[in-house]
Formats: sequence, C-alpha cells, structure tokens
Amino acid sequence: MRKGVVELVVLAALTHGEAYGYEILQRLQPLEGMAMTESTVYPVLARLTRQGLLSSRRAPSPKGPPRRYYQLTPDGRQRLDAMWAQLQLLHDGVDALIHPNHEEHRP
Amino acid sequence: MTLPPSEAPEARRYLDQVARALHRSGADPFDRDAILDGLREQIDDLGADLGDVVEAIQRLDPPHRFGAALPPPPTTALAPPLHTLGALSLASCMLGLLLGVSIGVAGGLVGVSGGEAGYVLFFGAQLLAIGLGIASVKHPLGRGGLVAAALLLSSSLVLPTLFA
Repeated sequence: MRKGVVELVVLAALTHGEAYGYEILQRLQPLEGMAMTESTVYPVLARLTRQGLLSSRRAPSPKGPPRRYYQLTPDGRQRLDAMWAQLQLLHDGVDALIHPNHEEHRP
Repeated sequence: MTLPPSEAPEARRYLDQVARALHRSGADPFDRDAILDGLREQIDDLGADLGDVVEAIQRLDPPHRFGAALPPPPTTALAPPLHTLGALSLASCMLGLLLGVSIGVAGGLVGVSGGEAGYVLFFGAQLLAIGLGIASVKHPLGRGGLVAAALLLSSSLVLPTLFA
C-alpha cells in the first residue's frame, strides 16, 4: 500500500480516540484491504508524531511496561480531513471517467 | 514477580536485532524508540494472550523489514552524489581555462581589451572548481578537480602578463 494511504489509514484509525500501536493494528485487522503489519504502521506512527500530526503519552499497562498512546492533534485532524477530501475528489473523478453518462456527473 | 514477555531472552534478542536494523538504516532516535516501544507492547499483549513468547515473536515481521520501512536520512537523500560534484569541479576547472584564455586571446586579436574579462572568468572558475573539489574530495574526480584548479590558480600569476 502506498505511503500516503497508510498515513491516511493510521490517522483515520485514531479518529475516535487514542490508541497504542498494537491496538491500532488490531483496529485495522478485521477491515478488508486495511490489514497492515507492525513494520509498516509503527514507523508511520513515529513519523506522524515527529511531524506534529499525532501526540503521544505514556500510560500504565496491565500487561507490562507503560504503553505509548497516540492521538490526533488539531494539525493531524486537519491533515486527515484534507486527505479524505482529496481521496473523495479522486474517487468522483475516476467514477466520472468510468461512468461518463451517469446522472450524478452532469452539470 | 513475573517478568513481562518483552523481557524474555527471545524477545530481547528480537528487539536487539530490530534496533540494529534501525541503526543501520540511519533511523532517527525518536523513531527508533517509538518503534521499539510499539514492539514491546505488542510482544507483551501477544505473549500474554498466546501464553508463549516464542510464538508471539514468530508472528512479528522480521527485523530487517523495519529498517527497510524507513526513508533514507534526509542528508543523504538531498546531497548531490560525490561523483557529480567531482565532475562539476573538473568541468569548471577546464572550462575556466579554455574560456578564460580564449576570451583573453580573442580580445587581444581583435584589438578589444579582453584580458581582464578572461582573467576574471578563469580566476572565478578555478575558485569554483576548488570549492566543488573540496566538497567532493573523497571522490577521484573531486580530487582531480581540486588539484588541477589549485595548480592552475597558483600558476595564474603569469596569465596577466600574457594578456597584457
């Protein structure tokens, strides 16, 4: 999967609240076409945090050392909205190319 | 007190291999720590759920995949290759010599004072060649450009007399 799409998916996975890395993987696991492994997601989480699109905090874990929880920052939310809008435009554009006579695409 | 699965020798070995792969790929220390934290959490969760840390580790990506997932460090990505800088150094040196002397001589032949312009062009080109040569001194082309420009520049004291 392309890097930009992974970024979008990771940001989207945090829309409804903070999560730690493995929890994000588990959120993606049941979704068709979204399953990613740790070597893809963890570097993206680190990069997005470094870019200020995510923030992280440590919190105690019942199963071991403290966990690193990630959440969207306002900049991250803005980036997610922009990427999502761009993807929808792309979807509509491709749809118009495939179905040129469809009612929805007529001005 | 029981140690968490991520503290088991197998887990520590795996995490160490990932850390080395990240180091080899030039990973930012912040990225490296974040990735290793994520893996520790995953080993703890998986190890506890499966009751077997070895099986938990077998389900993880091989260590080299983490290094490959990161982009190359920005300095190496943005810096021009040494052979390009070296070639530019040599080219600047040779072009400066050729054009500088040509303009100087041509100016003299047609009766226009081209000596100064030729000398300035020659001098500037050699300084540029030295700068580029220093930047790419580790490459043979860079060393060649640096040495040639330094020799030409040091002998350039005689050029003004030729153009005069």
